[in-house]
Order: sequence, then structure tokens, then C-alpha cells
Amino acid sequence: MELIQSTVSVEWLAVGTGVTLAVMTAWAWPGRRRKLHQVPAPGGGLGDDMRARWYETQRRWWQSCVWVDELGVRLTPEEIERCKRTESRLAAVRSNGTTSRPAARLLRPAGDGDEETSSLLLELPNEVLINVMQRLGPCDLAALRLVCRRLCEVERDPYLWYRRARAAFGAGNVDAVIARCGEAGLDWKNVYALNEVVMGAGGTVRRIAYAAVVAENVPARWSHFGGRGWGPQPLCRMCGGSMVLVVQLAVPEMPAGARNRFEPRRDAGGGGNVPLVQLRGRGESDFTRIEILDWEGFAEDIGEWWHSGGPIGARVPYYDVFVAAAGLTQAEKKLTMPHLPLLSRNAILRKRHPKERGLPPLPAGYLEAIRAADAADEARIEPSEMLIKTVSPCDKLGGFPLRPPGAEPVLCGVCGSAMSNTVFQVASMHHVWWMFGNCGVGQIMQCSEHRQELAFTWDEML
Amino acid sequence: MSGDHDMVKLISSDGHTIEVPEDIVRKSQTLQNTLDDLAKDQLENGIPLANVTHAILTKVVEWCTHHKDDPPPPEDDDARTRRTDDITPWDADFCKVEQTVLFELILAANYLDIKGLLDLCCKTVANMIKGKSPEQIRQTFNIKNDFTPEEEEQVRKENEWCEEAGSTGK
Repeated sequence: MELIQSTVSVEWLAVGTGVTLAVMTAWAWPGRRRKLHQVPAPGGGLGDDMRARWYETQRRWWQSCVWVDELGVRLTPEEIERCKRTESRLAAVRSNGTTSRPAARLLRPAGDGDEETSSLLLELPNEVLINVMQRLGPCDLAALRLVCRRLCEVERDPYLWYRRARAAFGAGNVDAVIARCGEAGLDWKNVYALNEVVMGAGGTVRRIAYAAVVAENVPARWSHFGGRGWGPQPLCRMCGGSMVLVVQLAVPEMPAGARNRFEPRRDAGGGGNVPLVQLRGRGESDFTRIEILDWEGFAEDIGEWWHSGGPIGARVPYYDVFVAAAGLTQAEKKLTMPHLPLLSRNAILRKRHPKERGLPPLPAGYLEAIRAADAADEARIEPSEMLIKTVSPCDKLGGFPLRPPGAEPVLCGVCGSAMSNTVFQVASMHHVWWMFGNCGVGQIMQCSEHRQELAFTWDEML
Repeated sequence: MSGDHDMVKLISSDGHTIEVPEDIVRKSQTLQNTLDDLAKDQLENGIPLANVTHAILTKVVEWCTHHKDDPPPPEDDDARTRRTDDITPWDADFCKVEQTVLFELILAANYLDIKGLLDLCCKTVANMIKGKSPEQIRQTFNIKNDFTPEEEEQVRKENEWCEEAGSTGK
């Protein structure tokens, strides 16, 4: 940091340290300019343009400086100029017991690499910063983490995480947090362990989902409900009966958030698709034989060979009518709230009013139920019929699966853990004609660790 | 102590002395401990507060006087401490000061252990942060971004879940 000694009156004239400082000082005190530095003058060998540019450069440099006087008060260049001309300022400085030649520190221009940070916020002790952070929501904290190292480090303070975890897992019951960490083999005092646990909770609170927007007459390799799949018509491996396509998801067409869950297949030109087929024999009603074919991609030329062309549609067994495939032409981005089985452990975010994030209003009855639970000092919201009715089943890509309370988790065939990614949800009678069981909702689930593992599950929702 | 046994002398860091009723002084846990620990004659010359200037001490006393009849805040109440929208109009006006004063008030409240005042100031700072982007927070509080690009990228990755969550709505 460079220091300039200056005075309040004319006698304050600065003693610069080096040519640059002298130039600056000269610019600030025009009356002394010539005595201090060889400023380009009219007729002095430099053209007017060059002189104007020189002045402009100096002016900009000067204005980008930050002044802090000896009392620690930050001053703008205009205020500094005023101070130099005001005796009262000198008197004020003197009355505060400082030198009669008060110094003003000139910090380097903003943007210099080694600029001194003088943020008052960063001067607060950690416990006070934590007090502030406790009052911020997850997204504000995420923004705060990105401000600077100090705030990032404080934000990771175990105590803050502990408090947040405690709020996240409910009702001041510390044991729940510790137990949860224990289940995962983590030390709850370890900030990263808590981070994992709390982030795990936060991550499930909101998920992006894409509501299906359909149109007729789409190419076979596009995502669509019903009709012919992008490939041979599959047969049931058990009985040999033909299976019909419920939905086909073309991976390259998926929005990025959903598409990234499917790693590209090296030996296939296309991105692959996810066909979901169902055994629907004529006159039979075996709704339960539903399979996901291997999602890994077909090369486009092979797929073209498989597909025989013609209208994309199919005769729907049982109803015996021809239904054109409904192509998924767009995906309308939505944000889904967790459904009831997932909701209860996310107390920390439940209490945030949707207006804070600019979210559309929650379904009717949703907030009332939360308020009712809060009023009763309930740590968890127990699933209720009223809440179930507020969440209508729909076809969607991603988001949370709509499953009844207590539904059995779908386990990954490799690691045995519950599959948490919802690839797609198909609701009976939304875009498909037929039903899963008695008006059920089915999901293609995916293991978050083993992404090649897909499973289909469905539940009756009556 | 002054002649009036209910008054306590407080000496600010810049040498000013102010006399404050004892019940007001006892709003500060630090000063309450001092009053309890020291004999009256030891308090005759006043209690020096090395970290609090006269201007800030005056503000602190003003706040304590206004809140002298408030019940003591609960020791540990998550629901209460998390809120930032329960600032009374008087308190809101009280906090309408320059950042310098606000942060000095925070430091004084922390030093004097006045939980109510500390919470109020922290709520005010939290409200100044809410809804702002990292760059806006830097500008508001004059903070320099000292992350390396790699560190910043790492933090951004950690924040992905939140960015995803905050970017859309249903």
C-alpha cells in the first residue's frame, strides 16, 4: 500500500513517493501542478489530443482510488477535496487527538491484485457471522459461500451445519441428526459429514420435472406414448405374447438435466432411448407384466432398419382401436415438491414461504396442512388423505415420484440401495390409454450411483 | 458508582463517562457479571469498556432503555432465531444507520453480550444479504473475491443442487 502525506489547507501539499504519486498529487492540486511535475502543457511539445488523453488517464486513476482517512472513515474523492478546503475538518481531526497533519492513506485503485479488503462484515467474529447465517435460507447461503474464502469457511463451520441439520431433521431432536450420521457411518461433528447429510436433505426438497407436452405424427425415434417403438416390437419373455409400447423416451431429446443421467453409449451412434413396454394380450388384463427394455442406444441406421415406417400408432389391445402415438414434442419445465413420503424430513425448507423463492403457490391445502402441523408442534407432517388429494398424478420427466405413503422402495440390483432418480412417471389415463392396476401411477426409477440400472415400479393410487 | 445507588458509570473507549440505571446495565450479561462480581466501592470509578466508543455506547443504552421491560430472550430457540421478519418498527428505525455504525453495534452487542440487540443487528445484516447474488453481496459489503478460479468452481459445484432448485418453479 502506498501512502501519501497530505494536509488540509494549502500547506498540506503532499510529498509524493515516486513519480507516479507526485503526478497524482499534482492532479489533485492544480495550483501546484507545474511545480511538482512536468505536466504536458499547451505548446509544450505535446499535442492537445495527447494532453487530453493524459489528463483523462490520470482522472480515471484518481477517481478509482479509495481513500481512507486516519480515523478510518472512507471518503470519496469529492469528499477528500472538500476536506482539503475545509478548516472545520482539520479542527475535527485535531479534536480527536490526532496529529495536526493528518494523514490520508491512498489505497490502490480498485481491481489491483493486492488491494486491501476493508469490509466491515469480514471483521465480525465467526460466531456473529454464524448468527447472521442461521437466518438465511439455503440459496442465500449458497450465494454467500461464493462471496469470498472467509465467508465460505465460516459457512462450513460445524456448528452452523449442526444447527441447520438439527432444523432439517426436525424439532430440535439432535439425536435424529446424530443417528442419521451414524447410519451413514459419519461423524456428525465432521463438517463434511454433516454437509453430506444436510445436502442430501436439501437436494430432495426441490427437483426439476418436465411435464409432457404431446403432439401427433412424430417420427418413430422421437419420444412418444403408445404406438410403435424405435426397434422391434418386443415379446414377453415369459409367455411370448406381444407387448405394447407405453412410452419411449429418446435420450437425446431429453432436457439436459434429465439427459445427463444417461451416459452415451460408445458403440452406438444415437443417444439411445428408454422404451417402456407392457404386456397387453387381447382379451386379457395382465397389467402387471411391464418391462423396461434395455435403454442403451441403438445406432440410428440399425434403428431405421428395425422400424418399418408407416404411421406411428398402434392398435391398442383390449380396446381394439387404433391410437396415434402421442409424441413428446416439448418438455415443460416444472419444479416439483416432494411427495408425502419424502416430505416429512425436510422441515427446514417446508417452512420457507414460496414467495421467498418466487415459486407459484402451492396446491390448496398444502400450506394449511403445514401450518396445522406447525401449530401442533409436530416435527413431521404425517401423510393425510387431504394432502394426497392435492397432488395430482401426471406424466412427467424427472421430479419426484408420486408414491403412496409407505411404498416399498425400488432397490438397485447392483448396490441394493433405494433408487432415488425418477426418470419418468407415467400416470394412468393421462397420456396413455390404459391403466396400471386400478388407476395407478408408474415410474421408471434409476439408481443414482449405477445409472445403467433402471427399474419400473407402479402403485395403485386409489 | 454514583451517589444514586441505581446508577452505574460506564466509561467508553474514548474516555467519555455516562451514567446508566442499573436495571438497564443488567441487560448486558457481561456487565451484569461485572456488577455481581465486584463490590460497590470497586465500581465507584466506573466500568471501563475498552471496545465501545461513546457514540456506540449511547446507541446501546438507547436500545436497552427502550427494551428494558422485555422478557429475557430464550437461550436456544431455533424457530425464533431463524426469523428475520419480526423486527418491530422502532427496532427497524434504530437499525437505519450507516454500515459502520451497524457493525460497531454488532461488535458492542457481542462484547457486552446483549442477545436481543445482537439478534436484531444480525437480522438486519441477514436482510441485507437475502436475495442477493454473490456479486451484489460483495458490492454491498465491499468484499473482494479472493477465490482462485478452481476454488470458485468447486464451490459452484457444491451449490449446484441449490441453483437447480432455485431456477424453476411448479
